[in-house]
Amino acid sequence: MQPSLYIHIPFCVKKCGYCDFYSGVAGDADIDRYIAALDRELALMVPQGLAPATVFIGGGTPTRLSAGQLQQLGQVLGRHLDLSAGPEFTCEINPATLTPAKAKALAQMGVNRASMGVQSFDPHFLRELDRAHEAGTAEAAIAMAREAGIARLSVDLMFALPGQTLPQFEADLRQALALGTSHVSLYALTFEDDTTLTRKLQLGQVQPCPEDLERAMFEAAGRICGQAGLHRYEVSNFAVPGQECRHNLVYWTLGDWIGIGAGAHGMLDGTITANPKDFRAWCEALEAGRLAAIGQSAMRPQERAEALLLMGLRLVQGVELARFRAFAGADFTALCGQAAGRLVELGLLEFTPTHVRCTEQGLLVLDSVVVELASDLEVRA
Amino acid sequence: MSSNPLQHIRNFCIIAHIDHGKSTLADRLLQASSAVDQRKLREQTMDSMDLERERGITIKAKAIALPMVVDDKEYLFNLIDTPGHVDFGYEVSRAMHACEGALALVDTTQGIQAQTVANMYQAIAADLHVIPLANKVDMIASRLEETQQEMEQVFGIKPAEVIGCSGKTGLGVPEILRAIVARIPAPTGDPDAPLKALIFDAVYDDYRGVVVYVRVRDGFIEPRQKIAMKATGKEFEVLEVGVARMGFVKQDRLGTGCVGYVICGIKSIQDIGVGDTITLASLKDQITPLPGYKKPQPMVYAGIYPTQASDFEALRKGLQKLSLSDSSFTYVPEQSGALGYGFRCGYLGLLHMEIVQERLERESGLELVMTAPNVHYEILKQDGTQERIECAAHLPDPTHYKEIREPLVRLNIITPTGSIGDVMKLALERRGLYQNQEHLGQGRALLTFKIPLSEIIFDFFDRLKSITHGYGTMDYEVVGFEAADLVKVRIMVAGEDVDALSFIAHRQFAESRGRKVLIKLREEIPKHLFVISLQAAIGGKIIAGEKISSMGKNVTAKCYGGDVSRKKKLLEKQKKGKARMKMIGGVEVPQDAFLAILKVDQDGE
Ligand SMILES: Nc1nc2c(ncn2[C@@H]2O[C@H](COP(=O)(O)OP(=O)(O)OP(=O)(O)O)[C@@H](O)[C@H]2O)c(=O)[nH]1
Ligand code: SF4
Ligand SMILES: [Mg+2]
Repeated sequence: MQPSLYIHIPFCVKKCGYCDFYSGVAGDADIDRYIAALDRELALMVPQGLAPATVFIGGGTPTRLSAGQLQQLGQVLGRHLDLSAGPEFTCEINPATLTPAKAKALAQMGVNRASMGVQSFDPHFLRELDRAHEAGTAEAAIAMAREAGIARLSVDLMFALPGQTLPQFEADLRQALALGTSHVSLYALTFEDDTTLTRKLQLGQVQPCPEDLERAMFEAAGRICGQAGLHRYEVSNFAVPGQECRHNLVYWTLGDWIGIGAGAHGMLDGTITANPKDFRAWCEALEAGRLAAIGQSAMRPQERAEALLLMGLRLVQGVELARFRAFAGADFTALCGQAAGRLVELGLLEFTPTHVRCTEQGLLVLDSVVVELASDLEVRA
Repeated sequence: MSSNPLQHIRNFCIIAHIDHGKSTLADRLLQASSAVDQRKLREQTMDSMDLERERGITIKAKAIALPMVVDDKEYLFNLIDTPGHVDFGYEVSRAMHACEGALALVDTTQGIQAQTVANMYQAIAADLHVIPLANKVDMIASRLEETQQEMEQVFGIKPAEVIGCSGKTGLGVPEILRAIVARIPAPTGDPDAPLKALIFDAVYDDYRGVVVYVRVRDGFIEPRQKIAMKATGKEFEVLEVGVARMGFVKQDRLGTGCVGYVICGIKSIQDIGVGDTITLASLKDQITPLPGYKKPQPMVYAGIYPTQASDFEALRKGLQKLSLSDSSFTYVPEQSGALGYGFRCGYLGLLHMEIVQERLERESGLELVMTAPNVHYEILKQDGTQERIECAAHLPDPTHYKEIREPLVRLNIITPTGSIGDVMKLALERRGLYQNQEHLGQGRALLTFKIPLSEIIFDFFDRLKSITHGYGTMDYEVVGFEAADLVKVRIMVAGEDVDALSFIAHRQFAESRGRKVLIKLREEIPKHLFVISLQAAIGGKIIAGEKISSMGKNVTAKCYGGDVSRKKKLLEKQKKGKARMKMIGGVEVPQDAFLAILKVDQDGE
């Protein structure tokens, strides 16, 4: 299979209060320069005429680009890629910044899946999160995308927001499902370092969601989505069967993908590449005809095993044992069977004939499950 | 300095309650000496150890030889600065054995304090001529007259004998110098008799090996002499002698009455008996030793374990190295079911423990688990023999002994009279027995109790400070052992007995303490993937139980392609954190949890 392609657009209208992604505000000239550099990077990184398994444009806010700039980006992609087979092609969309013209440019580019950053339908929480859009724009944006012919839709929602109640969360989720979306990403709010939200937390201006409530929301999410025909297939992702995000599945199974753009990471057979999180430095390198990547590290066998577990166990289906053997170079049970045994006993992990996976309880405490398994690896290595 | 006739020598120490200004006054005396390089002076010059400077306190007594001109006559002053903290009381008593006199300081902003009383009585018992000084008179809060009255009341010292001074400004220093000459007798001793020198201290120097500090009583000591240690019989050849003065100053000979150092190729401080007598090797069987003093006895014991079992040898080396320069802590290997192989260390008190542990961690760079300290006990076995217990876990089943005895101390507390009621209450709560009360004037009183050491050693002082609004001070002295109704409380984590957490308590308090320890443990041990049961038991009987519920949610919400590197790094950190924990019954117990019982005390009862 051909590698997938990720393109990073590190520009936003303004910085959201909880966000620690590599993104920032920039002017139009910067963006033009950025698109030109993307062209150069594609030329250096992508075999001419590559037919990627999937494409994903993320950010930042890709729809921060003007319709004209999006068209330009479409032309750039068209020059380097063969999209004739109509691969899954997702673009992240910030509802407040979408216009019919931008939606059209995206569709023309080949985008057939819109990932809508709604976060909440509740105006109070939108303000709390410093989101740029107003309640109500989400529905309008979804209509625009559909109108332009972007067939698949995913809605991003956040939960465990400071002060949010279980009924408030359920109402948000039901409203998203009522839009007829076939895919939902539900993210528990996390307090990342160096964000305004975390500073508010430290100053005692906001209270984190109690653990019990967060757990209740997580469980309610599974129930409510299930009733609407969407099943949980990853910790935070729900889909109508067949509508799972194939691009993200590549990440979670540690397949191959090429990362393009400032701050983007790529993975080719267990070797990670990283572009600088500084779009000027990244542009300058490419303008000088150099590759911008600052780091390239081939994972050691133990790291490969760890990375596969830490990504793969996020999936409800778990990690395929055969894939583990091929990727990590050793049998799962040989590497961490003891820890796995303890976790199975605790009802957190289970084996199927082909996979090892978390139980529903295990998924809730996945990070600790992975530490257990990885520590066992360490002892044996 | 052998040319110094005896009558020009004055040997004295500076004693006082902690922080009353001993080291600062020593600075002024150093300044007054013609032979000290004034550029090398700094504040509390004699506090030369890093830890002393960091903490602003004196830990080790240090001797210094100062040529001094007083009223146009030349003298040699041998001054020993001593520590004020109660843990280091034995340093003071050692110093006193090398002297004929003492400068006894009282901070006039504070008045007489508990260690003032203790030191003063000790000085009198050691036949020292005491020069009372009322210090810090430069301060606005200074109350010179009241302090003089107090000294009269408590020690019977006439106000006229007390010299008002300031270590800070140097006020009173000329008068002090004259008093030293006039009131402290010159040493006595027979220069023509065979060598007899008292070892009053020994330090380990990275470059010179063991440096022995002596007070020459009779005869003299000089290089190439063959000397012997009276108690051990070990013989050495003297390589160098000299006096300490901003470093080592080599001399041809140390004569009768002198205080100085001797280097004779000793490798380990353990080969030296402080308090032993040095004689000439040829005469070692003929002379009678000078009266020495007992090795200080540890007051508290605590376990030190490496977090990584493989670091055991490195830990042993670290302890060995430390004991080269500090002979007052003890260490013996011990094994704990929960913590593996480690050492049980004996310390002079909690400050001493803190200092040793800090040095050990700093100098060895090892990750260590420290257990909560305890005092030691004596048990009288069924067969009439006695056994010493230094670790709660080692206390056998009650059927194996007739009685258990704990160390008792005489506790002196100086408090404002307004707080007497509260102090009494505190002492009685801690099983104290009231013995005496003496009024010091100025609304202060000296209270004396008999009280178990275990009840005062951990948090008592903090509590005393808080109920007396910072004015209370205390001093104690072990007076013996007494039987008591003590029980061992065992602590179980996830059904497994954690010997390192067990403790000995009076039956009356055992249950409430057990419960509090469990509550602390519940705070210290992080949630796991399963429910953890915590129990406290006396013998087979469970007296308290707690539960740590299992982890509710711990999963990263967003994790995509760009997060692999970051998550891997995080995982690496988490694995390291996990490796640092001690595994007990499948539970990861953080290092600090082993001090849970100490923290119970800190929270107040
Ligand atoms: N104003 C004033 N401050 C003083 C005087 N003497 C000492 N101090 C201050 O009191 C504090 C304690 O002084 P030290 O000389 O370290 O006291 P110490 O008795 O040697 O203390 P330990 O060795 O720890 O028992 C320091 O902050 C000194 O600066 C004085 O005469 N006047
Ligand atoms: S729009 Fe997205 S990338 Fe930009 S600041 Fe907000 S959350 Fe971050
Ligand atoms: Mg001092």
